[in-house]
Amino acid sequence: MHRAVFGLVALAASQAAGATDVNLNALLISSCTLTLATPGVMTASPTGTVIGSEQSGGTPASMTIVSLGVLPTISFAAPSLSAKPGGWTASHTDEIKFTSTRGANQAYTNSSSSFVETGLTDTFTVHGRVTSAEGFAAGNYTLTTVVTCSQL
Amino acid sequence: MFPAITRLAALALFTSAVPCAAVSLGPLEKSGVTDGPAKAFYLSLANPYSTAERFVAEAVGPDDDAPQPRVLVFPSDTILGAGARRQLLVIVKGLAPGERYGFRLCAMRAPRPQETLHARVCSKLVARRLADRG
Repeated sequence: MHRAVFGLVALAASQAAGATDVNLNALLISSCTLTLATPGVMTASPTGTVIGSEQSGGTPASMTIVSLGVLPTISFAAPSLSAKPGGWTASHTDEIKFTSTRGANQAYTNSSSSFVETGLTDTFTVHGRVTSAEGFAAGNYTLTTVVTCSQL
Repeated sequence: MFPAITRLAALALFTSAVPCAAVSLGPLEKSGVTDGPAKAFYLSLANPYSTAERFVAEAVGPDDDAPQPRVLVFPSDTILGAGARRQLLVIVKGLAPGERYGFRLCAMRAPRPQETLHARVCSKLVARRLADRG
């Protein structure tokens, strides 16, 4: 009898002094973070009819995507020259191409393009080029495109 | 003429040496029902930079970049501190009974001259107003 009572008291005491759950909660909402990690540089070709990031001395742009909860779509708008020397009116073709560590592989295009992500993180390498049979005037050229992360 | 001049232009900027763009927005999809002519949504905008940056937000069409004058965004232009996060209030006006209205709310760091890649994140939003009961 006494032994049984002691047993119950010991059990109650062990429960009172027992471990308490410690919970660390996280409430995540679906989101996308786009970061352009490195800028790119275009240089002129020896023929003078192309400026691009794949020419000698050029470098591509690098962009990282971190998404939560969903696999987003990364869309590239049609590229265009947002800055060029005044007086330079030659006809030209503006193009980008990109690859990613998750398998995106877009050849040079002057149209819009997109890639449906296959993972929550990805890194894109983006090349750009401008082609003009008439050549280029001296000055700064900026090839611009809008990159959009969204859920289709 | 131009090819000769090109040799003088040693370098053209693909992206310049200015800081690169980044933006974070969520959720990427949201929908809601209302029994009145207006519907509000909250989105979370974050600054991934280590410095304060200015961000802009605008409502565009579900499949294009057409402006959406029926949508108000508060604030549509804001400065966020390093790593800071804040809510955006998005209000759709003029919903007719039974109307379903879809659009996208896009946020990006305020564009800078000579920045080549403009990074933006868009959230797909749908508001629906209940139909009148006769």
